[in-house]
Amino acid sequence: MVVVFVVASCGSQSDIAKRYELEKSIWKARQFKAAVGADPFSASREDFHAALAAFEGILADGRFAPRIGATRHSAIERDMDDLRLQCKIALAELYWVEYEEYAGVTYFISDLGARDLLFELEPDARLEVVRSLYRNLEDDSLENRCAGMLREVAEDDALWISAPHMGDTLLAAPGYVARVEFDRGKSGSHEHSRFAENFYSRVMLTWPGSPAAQKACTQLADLHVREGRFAEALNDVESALRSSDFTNGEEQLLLLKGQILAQGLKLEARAESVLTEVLRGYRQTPSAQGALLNLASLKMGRGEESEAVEMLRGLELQPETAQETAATAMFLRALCFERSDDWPEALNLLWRICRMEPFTYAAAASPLLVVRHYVEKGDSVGLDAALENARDYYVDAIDRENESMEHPHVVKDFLIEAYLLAGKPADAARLLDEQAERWRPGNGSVALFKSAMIYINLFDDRENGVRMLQKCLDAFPRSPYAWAIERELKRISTSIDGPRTG
Amino acid sequence: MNAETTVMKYIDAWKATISLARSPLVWVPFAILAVLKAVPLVLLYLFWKPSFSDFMLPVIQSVFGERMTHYPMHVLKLPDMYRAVDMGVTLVFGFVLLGWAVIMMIDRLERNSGRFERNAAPTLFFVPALLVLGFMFVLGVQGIPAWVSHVNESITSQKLQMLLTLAGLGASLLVKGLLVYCPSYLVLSRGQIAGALGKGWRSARTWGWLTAMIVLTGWGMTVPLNHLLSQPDHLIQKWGPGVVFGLLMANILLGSLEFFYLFGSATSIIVAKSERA
Repeated sequence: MVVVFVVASCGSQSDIAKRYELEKSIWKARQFKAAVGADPFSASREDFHAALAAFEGILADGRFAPRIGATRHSAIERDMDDLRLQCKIALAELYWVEYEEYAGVTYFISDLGARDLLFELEPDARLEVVRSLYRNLEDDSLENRCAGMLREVAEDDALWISAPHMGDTLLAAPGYVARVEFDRGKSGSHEHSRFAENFYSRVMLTWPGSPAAQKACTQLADLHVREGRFAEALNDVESALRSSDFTNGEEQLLLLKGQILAQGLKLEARAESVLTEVLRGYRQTPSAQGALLNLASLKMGRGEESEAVEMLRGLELQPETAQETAATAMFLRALCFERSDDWPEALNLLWRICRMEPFTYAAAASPLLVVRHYVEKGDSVGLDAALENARDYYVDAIDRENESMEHPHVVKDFLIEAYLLAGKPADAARLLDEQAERWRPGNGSVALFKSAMIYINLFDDRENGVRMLQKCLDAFPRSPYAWAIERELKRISTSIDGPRTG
Repeated sequence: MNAETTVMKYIDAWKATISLARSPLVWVPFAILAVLKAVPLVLLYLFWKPSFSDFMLPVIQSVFGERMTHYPMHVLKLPDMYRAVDMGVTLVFGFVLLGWAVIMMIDRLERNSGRFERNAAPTLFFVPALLVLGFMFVLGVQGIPAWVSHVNESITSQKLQMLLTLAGLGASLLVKGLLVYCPSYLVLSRGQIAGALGKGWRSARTWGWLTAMIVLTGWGMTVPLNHLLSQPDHLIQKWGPGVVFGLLMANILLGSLEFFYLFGSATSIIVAKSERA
């Protein structure tokens, strides 16, 4: 047996041996990634760095580098190219998880489109409020690393030669990075936006009609919508519909077309026609429900509240309507009642939404609408009561940590927004400070972090801001955000002591 | 044979086997068999190493298919690949070495009982007959479960799969019981295969419960390990791929132990019977 092992250690590497070792290394690296991927917001930094190090180590290992002048003629060379590509994709996904985690903490417009549907506010005005909170806290290094890896994946020939490797993360990442670039108001290159456009267009050209192409089309249209390029978004969707490559999901594209026509281009007649086509041609589908919501919203825009209310009520009463959709319909009805000066009925609906289980996005937005109502009416007594109710509701929701929340920070963001609307941001900062230690580390650390950002960016109160950050680090040293806090403390101390960096 | 006698004979067989185990020479054939099984396992596990890949790769590709040269499929299917090799080694060498071991066991047992009459002839005379016995053993004891496993892959009903598995297990244990005395009778009858088979089967029938106890005890030794090895994906996820190789090596050692116990017990029973006669 000893002789066998001594003999085994000599000799040069064959291609199959190299491929086997590469597969083995990737398999081990994937075990680390699996530990992170299950719940990235709770993954330890050690697991995360182990996963990153594993994949980075493979790509840096000279044994697995492509031979100079190698072609993809042999099966093994193709396998090796595909394996290296898988490694790059895994690394891009990890970088994106890290970037999204950071962006999620420092950037709280998570779904601008849906919230504008609910609140009918102009995007730019709200964006400016948000940007002012985070302007000093931007960090390009994570963004550059993520974007750089995505670019490397996109430039790998192996990606485009074989069957699509496109997981949902790889398809979502370029659009997300471009969205953050736009929402943060970075003027100039729109580098990430152009990359995302080219990437999605190439996916659609390379694998027409595939699920990946359909998702790419939706992402591209979404990107154009967010940047206000509605005509291009419409063109994206109409091209896809004309191509007849999409045998499934046509109703989703039609719904998107209707939304672009209605909300983006304000071509209501065409929008109604398309949305009605979805409603009639795809009954009892989620897209038909979405079409009904949008049609009701159009009627609301024309002042036809009573007709809108009737449509929305019909949607709520349909047994196949999903809870989330029903809650949104109720929310829109509440808006109609508010406009018709029937505030008691609106308020009744909003609190009914809040009591629905499971928790919905509309439920998170309802207390905020109540606060906004009293702000607009100038009713300070009503505002105080509404703010108190909103505070109690949001704190309770975070306490219960309702699992149906899509993004765990949405409720905290709504809490902050309620206080911002009421003109009491300092109270938000104090409330987050008071409540943070009662919550689990993920919520508590984010609460203190956001409290710090309010102090620093709205009041230029660095003393309290640093106090909050340090408190967060002391209370939650192992939280997933400890690294982000250390980064911000370093940034702030650098900007106090010398020229601002980053 | 009543229950009390059966239990007494079972315990006596254990005692005799333990006494045989104290003789290092008797272990030699089993050790050689273990090495003959371990070497192919090591080659299968390390096929990708440069020194082995030139000759092992064509073997794996032609016998097991191209997909076995990929990781982790290679490790996941290592138990299946090894099972095929194990059958081959047992067929060619297993019973020849066993014959040698049985000769030494008979010699040792007769010495212990004070008899010096040498009934055993050199192993070479028995090789053809031992190969026939080995073929029957591999076909019945290893072949039936392997065939059932193959058939189960195309069956969707879990109940039917379970029934087939149990039936296959029962058949293989039955074959083991029918053959367990044959090597000893072959040696004592100086290579008469028909006579050995006839006596072996009659003994299995006469000492039915005793035979069942011995066969089931031997089978019981390997159950935990075989159960672990039936779920290689779970093992790899929990402990890494190296554990599959380690468990297969342990299985080789345990298999040798089972062989020693089975045929040691059977031989001791036959020798004790001939003493009484």
